Amino acid sequence: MGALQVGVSTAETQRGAGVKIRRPAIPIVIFTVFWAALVVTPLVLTLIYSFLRQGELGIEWHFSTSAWSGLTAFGRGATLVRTFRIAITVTLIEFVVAFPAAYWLAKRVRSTALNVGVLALLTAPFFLSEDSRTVVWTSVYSNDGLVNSGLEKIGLIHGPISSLLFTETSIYLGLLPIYFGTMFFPIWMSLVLIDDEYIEATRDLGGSYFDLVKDVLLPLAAPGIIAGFIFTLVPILGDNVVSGLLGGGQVVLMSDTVQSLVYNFQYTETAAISIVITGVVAVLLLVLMRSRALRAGFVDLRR
Amino acid sequence: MPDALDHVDSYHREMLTRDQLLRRSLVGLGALALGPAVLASARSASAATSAERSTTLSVFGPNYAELKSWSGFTQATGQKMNWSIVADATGPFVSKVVTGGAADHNDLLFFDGGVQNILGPKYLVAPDTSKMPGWSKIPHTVLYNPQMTYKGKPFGVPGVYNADSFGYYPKDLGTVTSYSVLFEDNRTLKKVAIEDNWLTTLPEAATYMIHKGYAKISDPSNMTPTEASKVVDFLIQRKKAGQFRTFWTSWEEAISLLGNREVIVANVWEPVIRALLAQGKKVEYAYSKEGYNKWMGAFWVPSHSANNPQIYDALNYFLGGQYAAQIAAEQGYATGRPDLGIAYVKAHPSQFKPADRTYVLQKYKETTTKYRSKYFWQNAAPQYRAEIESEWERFKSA
Repeated sequence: MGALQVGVSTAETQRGAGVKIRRPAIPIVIFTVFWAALVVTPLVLTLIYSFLRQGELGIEWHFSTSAWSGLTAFGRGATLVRTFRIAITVTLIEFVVAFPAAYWLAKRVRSTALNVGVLALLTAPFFLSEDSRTVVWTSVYSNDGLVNSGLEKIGLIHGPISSLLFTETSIYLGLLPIYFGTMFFPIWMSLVLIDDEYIEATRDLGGSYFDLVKDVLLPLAAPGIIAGFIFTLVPILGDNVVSGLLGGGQVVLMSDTVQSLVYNFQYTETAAISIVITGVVAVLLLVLMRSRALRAGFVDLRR
Repeated sequence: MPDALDHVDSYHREMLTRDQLLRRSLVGLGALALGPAVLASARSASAATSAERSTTLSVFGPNYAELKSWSGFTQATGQKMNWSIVADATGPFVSKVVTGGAADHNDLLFFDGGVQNILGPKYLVAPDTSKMPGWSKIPHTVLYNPQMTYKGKPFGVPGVYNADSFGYYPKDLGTVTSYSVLFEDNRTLKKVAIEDNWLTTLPEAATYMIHKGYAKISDPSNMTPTEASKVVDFLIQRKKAGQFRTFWTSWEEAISLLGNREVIVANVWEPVIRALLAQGKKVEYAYSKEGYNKWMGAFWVPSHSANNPQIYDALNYFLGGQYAAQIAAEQGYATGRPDLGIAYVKAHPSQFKPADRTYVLQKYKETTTKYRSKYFWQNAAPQYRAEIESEWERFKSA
């Protein structure tokens, strides 16, 4: 893998030595203002809200820690753990499936028609709302749905498998197809940008597929992988469509709890939960970005 | 028609007759019975109404009291209807009123009874009953129930109400008269859907527990935190036993779950069963020996509308026969003047399909019978609302 490292370094040296990069001040200012106004301010306000007192009809401006002391009460602790367990598991499954699929499409498929066809099929679901995409599964997994009636018809079961719907299994079955695209596309884009010569060089140097993935693809596709994790994990944490339609209220996720709290004016508790979720997500992403396999390529590409 | 109108007050008698006569090209039995004087005043009133009122009435609330068509309303009041819909949940409604200015921007509010205890005189005023001629004919039990009153006095105007229980398939369970099939029956394990709402499911479970002697609960619709906790303990136990297949949240979901027989029992609203019957499903709405979950959606007058004559035309329409008959035919709900609904159907048979006609008449008879049974008034704003909500969250999370 030495040749590969040298190749990347050379390109960076040339760029670093020969070109003086002008920092675009106006775009940075615009970005900073928008980021501060639309991202940081709500987060700071949420943090402040979590330390206020909840009144009958709204928030009262008196310091209180009651929202934080009730963070794990009424089953919320278990719900938090369940939510992260499901979200992380689904994200990892998506990665395991999406990475080889994206590699296949980016580097192995030579037919333009097949490339376009696959991309179109993966893009099509985004034109439908999540509700529409989810609700169809109820007719697939219900007691008299396609799966159960099909299995009964061929004699594999003698009575419906009721656990296909309104269980944690059904949450996984519902989340996986919805969030495949959000993991697949960023990885695919990163892989497409990798020069084929690096892959060929790996083979020339006697590297195995494992070496290729570990030393070339994972580091160079790091930005796409991290984007895939963000675009998949974060929306799942806030998803209450799948849990509502396929979980049937039997498997409650944090988003359901948050919605329920908002419906009942428990704004301070909602704020505390939101801060916890944001914090845990931030830690998870930090861990991901600092992982050895991804860090090398990510840092190199950032230079 | 005269027999149907015998017990109708003069204002609504006029409204009924005017509408009927105008629709029938000013001829018919009603005209003969009431005479030319009433007819003339009705015609002039109608002309004045049309000429002077070209305004729009804005109502803010959930849509369960909405008619499919407001043409009758426009004809009777000269106003167009603009009904802004909000979710039938206390939080979003109150939030829109308190922080969204819904009370300032709408002529009338409509919401579940009990909400007046949250909003109170800061946002609402009691209606001027002298401007509603039929007020004294509203049944006392309707006017003075906790859903309608504030500090013991009527504070809203009755909209629609019903006594809810649950729907089921008799072919699986026979004739059912107990909530046991919903909460505690081996025949219905994993075949029950319960409403994802503490407002209905918790008091219904409490009613069942009282009847079975499982707990002492003084008021199912205004439970203490300890009482709510006991009910939730029971529900968690039943949840872990596999009693509940799922929770339902919307009209469509309730119809789908029962219609596809994903479940065979559900504590749904009566219109769900009515819709399923129309689809040919062999379902029934239960008469419950433990009692009923009685609820009411009322019209509330925002402070700024106190002297607006427009709202009283509308409120008189909502207390009139046409609205009573139509909402009963469409949704299966009763209004503050069931007597006028019956009179209207009898006076205007051609406006209703035969099945709807029979249903409305039967419906009001049933409603009266049901209200003689035990019931609790559903309360959107119990004293310990936050604690009850938290207990419901514990049940859901278990």
